[in-house]
Amino acid sequence: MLEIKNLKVSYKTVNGKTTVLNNFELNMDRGDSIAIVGESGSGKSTLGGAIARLLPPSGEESGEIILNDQNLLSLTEEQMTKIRGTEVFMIFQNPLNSLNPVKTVGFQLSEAAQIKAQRNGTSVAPEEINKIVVDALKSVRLPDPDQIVKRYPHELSGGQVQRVVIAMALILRPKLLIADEPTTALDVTIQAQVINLLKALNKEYGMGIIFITHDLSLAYVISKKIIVMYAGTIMELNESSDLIKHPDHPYTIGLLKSVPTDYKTNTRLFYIKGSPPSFFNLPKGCRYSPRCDKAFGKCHEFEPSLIDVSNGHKVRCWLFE
Amino acid sequence: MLDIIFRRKPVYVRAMDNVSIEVGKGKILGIVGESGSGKTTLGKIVSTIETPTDGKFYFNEEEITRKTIHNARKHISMVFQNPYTSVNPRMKIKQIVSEPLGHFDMEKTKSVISMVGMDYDEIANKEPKELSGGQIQRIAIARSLIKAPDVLVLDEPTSALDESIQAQILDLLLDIQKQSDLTYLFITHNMGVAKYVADDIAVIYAGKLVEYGPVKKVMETPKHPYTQLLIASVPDFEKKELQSPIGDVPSLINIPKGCRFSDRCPRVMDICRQREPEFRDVDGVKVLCWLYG
Ligand SMILES: Nc1ncnc2c1ncn2[C@@H]1O[C@H](COP(=O)(O)OP(=O)(O)OP(=O)(O)O)[C@@H](O)[C@H]1O
Ligand code: SF4
Ligand SMILES: [Mg+2]
Repeated sequence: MLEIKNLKVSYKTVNGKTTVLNNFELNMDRGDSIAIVGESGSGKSTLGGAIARLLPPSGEESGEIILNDQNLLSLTEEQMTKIRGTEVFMIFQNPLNSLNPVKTVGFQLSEAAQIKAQRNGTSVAPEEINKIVVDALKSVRLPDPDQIVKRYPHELSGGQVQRVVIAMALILRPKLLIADEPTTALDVTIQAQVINLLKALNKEYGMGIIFITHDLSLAYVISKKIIVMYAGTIMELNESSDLIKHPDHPYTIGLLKSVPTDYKTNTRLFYIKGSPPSFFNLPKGCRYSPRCDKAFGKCHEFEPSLIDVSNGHKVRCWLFE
Repeated sequence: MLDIIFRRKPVYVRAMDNVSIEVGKGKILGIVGESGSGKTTLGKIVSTIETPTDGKFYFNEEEITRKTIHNARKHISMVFQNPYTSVNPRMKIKQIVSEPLGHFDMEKTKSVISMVGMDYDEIANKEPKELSGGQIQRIAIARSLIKAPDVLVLDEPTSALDESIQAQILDLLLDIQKQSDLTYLFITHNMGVAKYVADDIAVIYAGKLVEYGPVKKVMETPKHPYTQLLIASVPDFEKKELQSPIGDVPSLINIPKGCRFSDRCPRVMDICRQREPEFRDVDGVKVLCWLYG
């Protein structure tokens, strides 16, 4: 369904150009759900924005992103607009980026309902549109949907805006949903409701989901597969349960060990020493080598490739060569 | 919202409804609940940043009024959630840390900076923008320690940080607490964090304490239906499915009659919608729920 080949994404900055993703590859089957995890700055949002072709103006991308037999990177902006929303829809980390500030919530959701109908080749009566909008707002547990539709995005709280955007995704029901930290601003009980809703859409309609989060337990709960990113590259990819229960990459092991899950004792939590590298100054060899407690000779010389260790399980580490 | 009482030893936080929360000196009380539940307000009242709208606040058995608030402030300080907005971006690190003293004291500043595991000479003259989120949070902690408080109120001190940095900060906070025999009020929405740091847990819902007891009991056999659903809705590695109560946390101006959780509770009974329950002691845990009589 989604095939990413040779993707390169760079940003122009005052200090020159930084390349965040390079030779990035990813395959996703129809109906799959993949969570992308990694520390702040590892390139998760960059990947999401690149797939939806919604990078900020300073971003540049090249390579191939093939979504349902169409290379998104060869489409004009006009062609892209025609598929955005229903083929691919992105929920941004900052929810205000997903909405138009000068249109009411009701207007924007009705527009989404019309677009969905149009692209399905059907027509809907105005009363029906209203019902679709109100139903979607109710499924994301927004109280008083009749009031919410009259408001502008800035008149809502962060958690409410995020739920409006999720309601929009429910209406558009895209083939591929990219959700960038969509529940960080939400309370845990609301987060659980939204997660269950997204899982139901994935199961019932085969909506593909790329779920970006830094919360490993959330990744485990929502997705069939997990990708661990570090400094712009995939370090490990596996079925969610296997990745959590049998992590192989030293970085995945470190991340998992640092999550508190038990009561305090006299022992200490594990943590990964040091901090992620800057993209201007990537270490030689394996990007994780300066922080890795297993690093040996060639780790400091050559970058390992993403090695297939078993069916669907990939690890970028010299220990698995 | 709450009557709060602090005593030298032990320290008390007393909620309305005749339940007293006893935090022994050198212990950590984890306060969990959703946003809007009043966690942060409670923290601000305890740190004397806000005054309670109803109820009273005592420190060392003395009611805190305008006259005595000064005394309490010497003993209590607070660390906030967002490390970047809680420090002044144009001040140097040494000024940020010593600011609560009202004057610069090199000796003390040096000592608290080393308590949070940083090197004074290296960072004293830096500005916040030159530090990472985890480093700034350490600075915020150092600043909260400079007046040698007895009580530290920590409002989501690690929720803006990556997990591997969170792990360092949590252990750092536990070390400092042990070394100086401090009392913590640790506010968090993260059940894993609460479980790791706390000795006792207080669960708040819509401005009220609903369950309070030793951490193991609350985590393993939660009594209140809200606590049960809160735990079931938090993702962890033990379960692949999440459960959650229907609906939304009520706003504090629009609270249901009777039990505040009655409109979302899966086990609601007639009486729950009519009268507010009172605290019951169930197996060493205090619970505000009609299921327990
Ligand atoms: N608009 C931009 N201009 C320049 N550099 C950028 C821009 N956006 C992101 N970057 C850089 O690209 C890298 C990856 O950032 P990205 O936002 O994709 O990370 P992330 O994994 O989403 O992090 P977080 O968990 O904090 O959201 C970082 O080094 C960041 O500084
Ligand atoms: S390649 Fe070497 S440095 Fe990199 S993760 Fe594996 S062992 Fe560590
Ligand atoms: Mg991001």
